[in-house]
Amino acid sequence: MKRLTASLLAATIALFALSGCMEDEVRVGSKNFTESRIVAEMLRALLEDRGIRTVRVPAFTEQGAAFASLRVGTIDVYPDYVGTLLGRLGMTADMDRAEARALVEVGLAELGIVALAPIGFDDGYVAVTTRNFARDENISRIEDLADVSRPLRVGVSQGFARRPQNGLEAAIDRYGLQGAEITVASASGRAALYDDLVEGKIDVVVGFRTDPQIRDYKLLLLGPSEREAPNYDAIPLIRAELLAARPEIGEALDDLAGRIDTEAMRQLLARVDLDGVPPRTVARDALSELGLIARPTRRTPPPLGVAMEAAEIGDVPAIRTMRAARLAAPGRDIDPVAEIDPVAAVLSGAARIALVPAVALFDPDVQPPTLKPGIVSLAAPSSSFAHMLALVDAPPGPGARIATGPVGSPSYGLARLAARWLPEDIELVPLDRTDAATAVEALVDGRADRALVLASLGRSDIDEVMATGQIRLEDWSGWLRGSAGLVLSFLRDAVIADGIYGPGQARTSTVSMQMVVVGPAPTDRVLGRAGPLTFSQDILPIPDKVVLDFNTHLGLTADVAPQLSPASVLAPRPLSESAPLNPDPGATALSMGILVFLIWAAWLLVRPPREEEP
Amino acid sequence: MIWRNPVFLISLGICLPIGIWGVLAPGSMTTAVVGFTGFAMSGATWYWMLLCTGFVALSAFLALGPYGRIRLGADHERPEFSTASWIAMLFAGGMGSGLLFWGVAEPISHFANPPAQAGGTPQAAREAMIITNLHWGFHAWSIYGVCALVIAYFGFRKGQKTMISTPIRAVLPGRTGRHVGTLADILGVVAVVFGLAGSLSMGALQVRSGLDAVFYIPPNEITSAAILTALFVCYMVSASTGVDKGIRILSNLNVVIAIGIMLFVIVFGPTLFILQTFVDTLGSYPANLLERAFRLYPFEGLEDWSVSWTLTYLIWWLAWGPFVGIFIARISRGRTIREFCAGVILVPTVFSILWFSAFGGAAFYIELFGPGGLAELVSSDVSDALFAFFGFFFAGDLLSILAIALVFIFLVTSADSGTFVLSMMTSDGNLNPSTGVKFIWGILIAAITASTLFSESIDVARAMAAVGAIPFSAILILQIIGLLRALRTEGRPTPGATLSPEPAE
Repeated sequence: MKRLTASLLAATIALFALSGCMEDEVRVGSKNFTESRIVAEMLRALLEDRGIRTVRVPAFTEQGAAFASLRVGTIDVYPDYVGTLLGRLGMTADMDRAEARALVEVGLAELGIVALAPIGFDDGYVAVTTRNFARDENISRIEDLADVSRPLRVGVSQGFARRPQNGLEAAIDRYGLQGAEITVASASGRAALYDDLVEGKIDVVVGFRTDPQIRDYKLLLLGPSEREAPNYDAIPLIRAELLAARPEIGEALDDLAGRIDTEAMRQLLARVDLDGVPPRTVARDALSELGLIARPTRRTPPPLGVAMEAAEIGDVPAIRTMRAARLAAPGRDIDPVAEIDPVAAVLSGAARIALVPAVALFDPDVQPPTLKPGIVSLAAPSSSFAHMLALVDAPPGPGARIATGPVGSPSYGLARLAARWLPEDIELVPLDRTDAATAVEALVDGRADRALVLASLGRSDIDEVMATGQIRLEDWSGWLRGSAGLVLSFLRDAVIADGIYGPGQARTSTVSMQMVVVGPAPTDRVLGRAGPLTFSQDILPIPDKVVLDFNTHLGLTADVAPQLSPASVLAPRPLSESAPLNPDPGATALSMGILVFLIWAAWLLVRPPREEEP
Repeated sequence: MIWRNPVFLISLGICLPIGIWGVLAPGSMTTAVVGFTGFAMSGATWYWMLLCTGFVALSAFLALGPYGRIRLGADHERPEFSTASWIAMLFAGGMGSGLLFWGVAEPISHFANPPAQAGGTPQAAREAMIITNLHWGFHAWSIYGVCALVIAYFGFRKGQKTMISTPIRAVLPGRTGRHVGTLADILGVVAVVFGLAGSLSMGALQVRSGLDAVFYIPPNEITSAAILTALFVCYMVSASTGVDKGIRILSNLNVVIAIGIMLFVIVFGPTLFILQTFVDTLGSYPANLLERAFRLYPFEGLEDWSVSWTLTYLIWWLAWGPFVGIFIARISRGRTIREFCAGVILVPTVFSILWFSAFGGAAFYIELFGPGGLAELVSSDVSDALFAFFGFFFAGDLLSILAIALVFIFLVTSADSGTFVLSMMTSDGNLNPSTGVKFIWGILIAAITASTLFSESIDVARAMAAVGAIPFSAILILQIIGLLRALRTEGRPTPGATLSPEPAE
């Protein structure tokens, strides 16, 4: 024991000693925004992986302070952008990309600074819009904006509005946007511009190319294209003196050249800004995935999976759900998990929660419809519409064969449940996938007459097939009136207004249902999970507090319908009937038995000792 | 000979059919056992709480009262093991790997969802530390202590057999006592067999999930079989060397690794915050003990919370009571009652306050001031939460590997001491049972563990492990009566007593 204690002590001391050994540290700086911090951490990680000690200088908040510090030598390395540097050198960025970079290199060399090879992403300004707006107004490039029929509403950041040569003013002149309504957001309010864009309060946002929202909301880049735009390539800068003295530093940093493209940077920014992962972790993870540094420590904590149909991923309800989940479970990564049967994924533990149309909660093989056991609804962020697709030239009236998603998918379940009430006899044709494109393939092949797709209104896959002009939406609601409406009470009559899917689409009546977030139901287990040596594989319910937080962050939504087994914390507490005076006679019997035993034991304790008792 | 020992034969006759039932029809067995346990627990919540708190009071009385100087052995006897080894052994025997897994999970669970108040607040953090230590502190060790004390007193002080039945025969002389005593011995054996087999199969699954998390070894039946085989070999080797070698060395190693991990967390985690948590809990736990030791939440409608946390823990400690108790008795010969209570109850309780302050404190810090993310994780997977927690530390992988090693050694020591205790109980209280008997029990335990493990039903294992506690609680009460009556006669000359009639010292 003593020897072991001693060796333990020795090991601890050695650890401390190791961290104290001396060497010249490379001072790495950054500017005060996420992207710059991530790149700075990447540069550090590359150096440290080769045994070069570094120290992180706090991010510079003042404009130009990082550059000035590098010039005077108070920091050794930091990342900047070609266009920004041109400005520092007193030039405009409006020139050919290669030329711009050559000019920067020459200009910096005079100041004793070396610009290393570009990292691979460009962070210039770009105009973005939603796919719906682009389609409705028929635009695909920034030049098309001048032709928009109504006054354009544009959101820009303060930085862009104030930029003299290639900022807002220049853009208005260049693209003929004099009639546009401009919203200017402060640096901290920039993220809100994207929310306004998605909600349709503005039409176009001028943001940075690497903004993660572009990826999250599947926004359309209008341009200017990366090739035409001024060069805003990110490049690491290093003091020439240091590079000459320790060439291994340059070699280490050059590993990053061209390895992180704009899309990759968007993902990394999303992990920091939306998921709240520290920049250092994100940087190290990214580099290790690229094989540039040895494996980092484990992903801590493991991500929380949200199961949904593949076609829902990236759609607005999914994004809202994921965002609310991120806020309700702080510190956890939230990963979407594509599943044909998302509810089954929750029951098996493959995902923690699922976003599904209400019909997915019911067992399709049982009449009357019965809730699947083991799940509860946590929130109802949106609604899901039955889209009955048919070819434009198909004969009107009911067709016998209806294509649905695979067996187990929500659309298959709805068709199974509805079959009993439909006026005609139908045959279900389960397909491999649940999206609209697959459904249309089956219609075109002649495998089915109509196809049922469950989707939130305006989902992009339906949008795309409708845009081809070969598909129409069919009425599918009459059957719900009468007894079907009573039995399938989670369904409701709904109308898809005309023009939702482009100008050719007419008003269509159909059925809709709540789209709910489900999680595992509490199990009535007597023994708890805890103990001196216990192991548990039980799938546990989402804690009440997380459910409430989730709903708060989701914003104002409808309550979960009572027939969809809302989680107990959401369900209104019924006024209980007056309880019987003794609700549990079994417990009475047990307790009385124990009391008799205890009284007997007490008598044993106090009775006088007998003669023969030792 | 063991084959002629009635306790051995009858308990074997009970264990085998139940074991086979569990393998053939895990569903119906779980329903039956869980139904029984559930009824006994939620139908008599008051009894369990009162009983276990009674043990705490009893141990305090024994330690501080007039009997504290009585020696568990002849007056001239001195302890067999050094104090450090003694505490290491009883700690390793009494606590399982749960200490490691729940070290992070339990404070965080209560912090996120404390009973009858809002979660995530500073007050909830303090509440969480109080509740956690209520579950792992004085109550746990008092139950073990009382179980051990009755055996040790009659075995070493009175020179009688170290059997569960001995104190009962002292209370109920004659034929009744003989029958009740034999019944008690059999129940003791059955409780130990199921408690041990259930715990070992859950422990093997824990190691398996750890290997999956750290080395990506697929968690399938082959891995389970390999872990069980390694476990079997290790505890049989350890058992064959006797208590003074195998268990002692492993326990010391275990405690060194555990303290090492704890120091690592304290030094490389938020040191100041952890130490402040420790001192804060050192005050708030005893200050709230009186109230909490009786609280069942009848007005808040939180009886279910009590059952699934506090009472579950108490049932666990009771279920482990027979074998941990006899094992602790075996290694405590020659100590006075006061020394015994200090070593078995006070020292481990203070250690567990420190332990939970380190793990829980660091986890609170991550939740309150760091990136967070543990609170929701704990509610979905406890072992993931532990490894995620280690992931926040530098050299987190090393910590995880050490943790798996620790779980494994905990299992070996539990299996080893369990085998030893079973052999002792079925060879008429022989303190050094023959290796042959130990081998028979070792193999039987391995067989029952294997069948539980491959029935793939954790509920069976859990229910099996806990069910023995229910009848054993009645036996324990009779044993205590025997002890108290015998203690009253200390100092009075008694016919037939071979030891010095004078009180110790």
